[in-house]
This record gives sequence, C-alpha cells and structure tokens, in this order.
Amino acid sequence: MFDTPELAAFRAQVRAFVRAELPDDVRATVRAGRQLAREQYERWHARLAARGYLVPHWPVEAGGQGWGAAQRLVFDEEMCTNDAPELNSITFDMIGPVLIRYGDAAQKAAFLPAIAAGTQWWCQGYSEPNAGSDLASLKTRAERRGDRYVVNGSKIWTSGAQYADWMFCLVRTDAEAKAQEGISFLLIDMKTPGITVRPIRGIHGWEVFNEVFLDDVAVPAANLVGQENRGWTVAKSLLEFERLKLARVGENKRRMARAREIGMRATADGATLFDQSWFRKRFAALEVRLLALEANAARFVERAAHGEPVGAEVSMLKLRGSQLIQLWEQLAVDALGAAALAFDPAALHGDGGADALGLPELAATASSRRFLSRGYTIAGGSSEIQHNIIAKQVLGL
Amino acid sequence: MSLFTLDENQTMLADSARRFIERAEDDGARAARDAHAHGCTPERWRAFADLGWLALPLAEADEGLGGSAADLCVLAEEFGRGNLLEPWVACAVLGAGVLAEAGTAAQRARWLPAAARGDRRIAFAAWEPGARFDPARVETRAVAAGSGFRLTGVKELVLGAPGADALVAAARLPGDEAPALFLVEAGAAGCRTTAHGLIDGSRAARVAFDGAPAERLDGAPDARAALWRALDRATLAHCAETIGAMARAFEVTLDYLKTRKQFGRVLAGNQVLQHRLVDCFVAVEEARALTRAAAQAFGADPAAAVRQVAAAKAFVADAARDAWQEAVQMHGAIGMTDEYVIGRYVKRLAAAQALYGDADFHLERVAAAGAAMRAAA
Ligand SMILES: Cc1cc2nc3c(=O)[nH]c(=O)nc-3n(C[C@H](O)[C@H](O)[C@H](O)COP(=O)(O)OP(=O)(O)OC[C@H]3O[C@@H](n4cnc5c(N)ncnc54)[C@H](O)[C@@H]3O)c2cc1C
Ligand SMILES: Cc1cc2nc3c(=O)[nH]c(=O)nc-3n(C[C@H](O)[C@H](O)[C@H](O)COP(=O)(O)OP(=O)(O)OC[C@H]3O[C@@H](n4cnc5c(N)ncnc54)[C@H](O)[C@@H]3O)c2cc1C
Repeated sequence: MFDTPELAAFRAQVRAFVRAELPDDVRATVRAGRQLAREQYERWHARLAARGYLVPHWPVEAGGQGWGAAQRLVFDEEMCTNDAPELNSITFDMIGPVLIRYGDAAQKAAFLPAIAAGTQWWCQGYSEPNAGSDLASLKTRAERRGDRYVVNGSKIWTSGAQYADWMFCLVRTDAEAKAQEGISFLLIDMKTPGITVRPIRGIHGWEVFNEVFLDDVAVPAANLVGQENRGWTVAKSLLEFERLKLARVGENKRRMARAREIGMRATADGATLFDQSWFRKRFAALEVRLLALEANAARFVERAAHGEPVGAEVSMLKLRGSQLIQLWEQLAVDALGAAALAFDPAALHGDGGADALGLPELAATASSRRFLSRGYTIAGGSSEIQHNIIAKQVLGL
Repeated sequence: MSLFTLDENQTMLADSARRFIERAEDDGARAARDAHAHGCTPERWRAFADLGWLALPLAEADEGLGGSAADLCVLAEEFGRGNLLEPWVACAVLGAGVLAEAGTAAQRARWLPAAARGDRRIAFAAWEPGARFDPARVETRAVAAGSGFRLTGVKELVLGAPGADALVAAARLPGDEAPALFLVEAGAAGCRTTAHGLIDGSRAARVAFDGAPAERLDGAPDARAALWRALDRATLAHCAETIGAMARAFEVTLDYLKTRKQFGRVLAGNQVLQHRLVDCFVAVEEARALTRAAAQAFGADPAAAVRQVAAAKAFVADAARDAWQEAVQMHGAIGMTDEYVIGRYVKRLAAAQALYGDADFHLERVAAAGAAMRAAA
C-alpha cells in the first residue's frame, strides 16, 4: 500500500524468490495450517540463509543485511502471503539481537554463526508458574559455585523447548535484592544433565509449549550475558527489538488470504460465501481494520526511518494486530460452518484423517488454528498489559 | 406457575442431576467415555435410563415421563455445567423426538418405549454438506422400493450417530417439494457411517446413504413442521446445556482470578478484570432468562415460539463465544491447556457456538419470523 518504487522492486524480488525456492512440502504444510517438522524448517532456513534472507535485519557486521523496518515489513508480507512459514522469532529476533548487543566476543563467536545458518534452535525460559505478567517475581535460582552457576527451579510455557538446542533463561542470582535487581540472563545448553522437558498439550491439540524443570543444572559462568544481577536490562531489551513486527501485518494478510480462499471455495446453492451478505460484510470489515493497522504501522515505520524513537505508543500495534488475527481466525471457522466442528488429531499432523471424512483440507485445522491464535493476546505482554503500558507511559495515568 | 422459578419437581430434578454428575463424572468416567468409540459407555446410558432422563423427553403415551421443554432445559443445564458429553440432547431429545413427532402409532410403539428404557438409541441426521445448518436444505433422495423406500444422499455432523440403533433422516420423494422423514436401521446395507470426534470431545458421524433401505415416518400430516418442532425443542435443550457450561466456566474463572496473584495482589483486584467478570456473569443470567422464556413459550405453542427459540440460540451462540474467549484471556496461558479444567469448557463453548445452527442462521430465522408477523398485522 505504501511502496516507494524501490520498495516495489524489492517486493517483486522477494516474491520471485519465495515462489521459486519454498519447498513444495513446506508450502503444502503451511497452506493446510499444520505445524512444520524441524527438518522442514531447516531445509527452508538453508535456502533463506544462502540468499541472505534468514537474518536480514541483523547488522552487516553480524552476518545480516542491515535492513530497515520498511524492507522488513515488505519481506514479512511477501513471506506470509506466499505460504512461507512463520520463522522462530525467539531464535532470530530475540536471542540473536541480544547477543549482538550484549554478548561478549566469545559468545558471539560461539552462537551467531549457527543461528544465522538456521541450524541452532533456541527457546525462551522467562515465565514461571507464579511469574507470568509479573515476570520480575520469578524464583528460579542460580547459585555461583566457582566457574559455574547451579540452577534450580522451573519454567513454564516455554515454546518449542522440546526441539530447542539452547535456552536463554532468566534466573535469580540475588534473593535479597529488589525484584528486578537480582536477576541474571543465562544461556543454557538443553542437553545439560538435570533438565527435564514436559510438553503441554493445548486446547488446539498441538504441543506448543512445555514445562522445563531445572534440577541442579550446571551452567558455565561464561554463559552469563551482561553482568550478574543486571539481567533485567538485557531481558527488557528484547521488547525493543522488532516492536514494529509485532503489528503482524504480514501474519494478518496470511489469514486474510485463507479466509478469502474459504469464502471463494465454500458454496451453498451454487453461490460462494462472497455472494452472501453476512460473509461479504464481515470480510470487508476486517479488511478495513487491516488497512488501518497497516497505515498505523507505516506511520511508525516512517518515524523509525527518520531515526525517531517509536516510544511506548508502539504498543498499540501489538494490541490491534493480535486481536485482528483472532478475528480472521474466527471468521474462517464461521465460514466453514459444520465442517470446522470436526476434530481429528491425525489430521493435525498431516496423517490424512480429514480426507477420509471428505472435509476440505482447510477445515481440518481451522478450529485448532482459531484456538492457537488466542495466544497472540496473551504472550509477549498480554493485551491488558499493553493497555496498561499505553495508559501509564503514553497517557500519563 | 412462575416463568423463572423452578417448581418443586424441577428443583428435585436439578438437585439429583447435579449430585449424580458430581459423583459420577470423575477422571475415570471421562477417560472411559473419551476412549469409547461411541463417545458414551453402555453403563452411562443405562444410568441415564435408570434416572429417568431418557424417558423425560417422551410423552406418557410413549412410556415417557412427559417432561416439558422447560423441564428438559433444567436437566440440560446440569449436563452442561458438569460437561457431560454423552449424546443426551442428540438422541434422547432430538432423535427420539423426531420419531415421536413424525412416527405412526405403530412406529412409536416399536421404538420409543425401548428408547425410554435405554435399550435403543436413535439419532437424527439433520444437516447436509453445504446446507449451513438449514435442515430444510435436503438433497437426499428417496425412491419407493417394495413396501419401503431407498435413500441416497449424504448427511454430515450427525450427532450421536456412532453406536445409534437407528437414524432418522429427511429425504425428497420424486416430484415432492417438501422433504419427508425416514428411518434407517443401523448396519443396513447402503448406509455407511464414518464416525469422528468433534472439537468438544463428543462424537458424531458423516453418513452416506447409497440406496439404503428405509421406512417412512408417516404419522404426521406435515413432516417439515414435525421436524422443526423436534429440532427447536432440542435447540432449547442445547441452549440450556451451553448456559450450564458458561455458568461453570464463569465460576472457574472467577475462582482463579480470586486466587492468582500477580504484581503483589490477586488478579480480581484489577477493575478492568472485575468489569469483564461482571459482563460474563450478566450474560449467563440474561441467556438463562431468555432461554427459559422461550421454553415456556414453546411449551404453550411450538409454532408460535419460533422467533423466541431462534432468538435464544442466536443470543446463546454469541454469548458462548464471548464466554470462552474471555475465559481463556483472563486465565492467561493456562487457559490454553488441555489438562486444566477450563480448557474443556472452552472447547465445549466454542463448539456450542455453531452446533444446532450458528448465530447467523438463527438471526435469519428471527428476521423471517418478524417479517411474517408484520405481514400478518
Ligand atoms: C502461545 C504462548 C506462548 C508462550 N511462549 C512463551 C515462551 O516461549 N517463553 C516464556 O517464557 N513464556 C511464554 N509464554 C508465557 C507468556 O509470557 C505468559 O503467558 C504471559 O506473560 C502472561 O502470563 P500468564 O499466562 O501467567 O497470565 P497472568 O499474568 O496470570 O494473567 C492472567 C490474566 O490477567 C491479566 N492481568 C495480569 N495482570 C494484570 C493487571 N495488572 N491488570 C489487568 N490485567 C492483568 C492478564 O492480561 C491475563 O489476561 C507463552 C504464552 C503463550 C500463550
Ligand atoms: C439524562 C440524565 C438525567 C439525570 N437526571 C438526574 C436527576 O434527575 N437528578 C439528579 O440528582 N441527577 C441526575 N443526573 C445526574 C446523574 O446522577 C449523574 O450524571 C451521575 O451520578 C454520574 O455523575 P457525573 O455525571 O458527575 O459523572 P462522574 O461521577 O464524574 O463520572 C464520570 C465517568 O466516570 C465513571 N466513573 C465514576 N466513578 C467510577 C469508578 N469508581 N470506576 C469506574 N468508572 C467510574 C462514570 O461511570 C462516568 O462514565 C442525570 C444525568 C443524566 C445524564
């Protein structure tokens, strides 16, 4: 919508790339709304990395392309609307940039090349059973003993922990200090003895998040990022990276494309859903909200391009973008009608169960995706917390 | 008789149902049901029969207990509150109900006393692919064959079909505009049933008839009206089930927010969450009042109650959506897990949004009923 001639040319380039290079099986899995296997991601990572498209937002010195926000948004949009999978943002958008900014030379050398090659997977060990929105109340302890920390405690909701090679983890290193002040940021090898991962099945039927138990886990002191007891600063900086991306314009467009496809394919009495006023209007209403989101995001992109800070106000993009994804997913379910009520665990994993029922492929996972999308307004600072941020930091309440 | 206070019998029914469900619906019973291909163990169905719940929807003449729509709603609400997933509404209210409405005396005598005793279970194949919950959209064909008929066509989302002894289905006879109703015995040649789960954990089937032998239910002068009466009655019971589930989801959420602490105080101490809890509470009360009023109107005159029944379902469908979405959001991540109790209610309410017709379908009925009233005025 807001492309300059240069951006339009760039968009065409990205589109040609993804259409030519995305492996067919990956495209099919994404189109059907299923979860990818790690092996599928890795084949795609390799092609992206070969083209310099895996971590293009990293600075050139760190192995990236130094792209700005505008290029990044165009890139995401083309990936989403051409059935490329959403990449693991914990690895590429969180720990990568953290290490670039706070890691020491040894840490950078040890991790950045593997991350940039797309072969090393990370998970984020922040939340605990009693530390959710109030993250600073976390209790997992790390005790310094010689050249190592010994970690005890448990993490929960750790997405992808069952596949991850490494976890970046917030631990309490000073029990006496005020909440935020006794926290440290540690890198933990998931193969270390004393770590147990228990996957948690979601209402959508997939095992997305996990519980991670840490029982006398020995972590080399060299894996401390930043200073001891100063981990909160490192942790919070994550929130500053990629804040524009949290508008999720591309992910919204992915959902819009799916809803459009359902609307065109689902027929009643020979007419498509687009011939029915309820669907046409609901689709158009969400389209309008997406245009608003996109315009609003473009406003922040412009600011960032002029080197102005985007400020706490940018929370509004996360707030709206996450709600809108949920509205698209609900529309898809409503559009599919009775077909979306069937649930077949085998179909979620691509074992073809749904075809035996004669259901259209999108129907088999529509309900699960609708449930999955509820996480967008909870994770990464819930909608309530985003409201609080805007109320306090923008409106001064 | 008060519209909104339960009478003595209804109070007893609700109390005994709640006691039974609290005792019987434990982890073991849930696991047994989930593992059973029919989504219902024979022991459970037998227990329902012993409690009189299978007889409740049927007329005394059919060896039932002659329960009113309002009585059914009282029991149904307890089903939803306890998250029972057995096909009580689908079979005891709807399947047997269509047969009661449309069967001849002989057909009723053959099936209904046995249904009331729990010896026979009947499901109704109400919807066809692409019909968007409209039971009047029927493409299934019936042709005469010998003393009976043969059906050809596909039905989807046949609730309670796995394990049912008979299926009732609508089909069109050559040259007839209005569909007629037929009964197909389970296991008949040319009747292929593909069972599947639903998102709430209950069981249904897709049924393909390919020249399946069928018997016509020709005890009612107007099969379409008979079908709608049975379906509306079941829709009311389904609304009440949903209200029970909404009420429980609300209580679980309320309790959770009163105990979970973040930022040094209970979550329920935040006004923004308090107001949303209030909205959830009000929605349950309003939905229950609307559904009760509709059930009373239906008891007095089913044909005149269409607008109220459709209004109840349209309202409950949206309320169920709001209820599960708020329950998840206010629980945070734990609300998205299968293992914590709220997850089961979330899935049930999400399914209930669309079962027996979604809000869009029933709003069309409300609008059509309004237009008919204006035309008559
Ligand atoms: C899909 C998904 C993936 C996740 N992945 C990870 C991961 O990889 N690593 C990780 O560490 N964590 C992860 N999380 C956890 C996530 O960070 C937490 O869910 C989030 O911080 C909220 O915490 P909570 O779930 O404990 O909810 P709570 O903090 O208990 O909140 C419950 C409800 O109360 C509201 N609330 C809380 N405080 C207030 C307040 N002051 N005012 C008003 N309302 C309030 C919340 O908004 C929410 O609606 C994930 C979560 C989800 C849903
Ligand atoms: C049409 C009309 C007719 C009226 N007639 C009469 C009359 O005949 N006699 C008479 O005496 N008065 C009358 N009133 C006045 C009425 O009682 C007041 O408007 C009312 O009490 C609210 O007070 P306020 O307008 O000062 O708003 P405020 O109390 O200042 O409130 C402003 C806003 O803040 C909200 N608010 C206030 N406290 C809280 C809180 N603790 N938490 C969250 N939100 C809060 C309110 O809901 C409102 O949205 C009338 C008002 C109207 C609009």
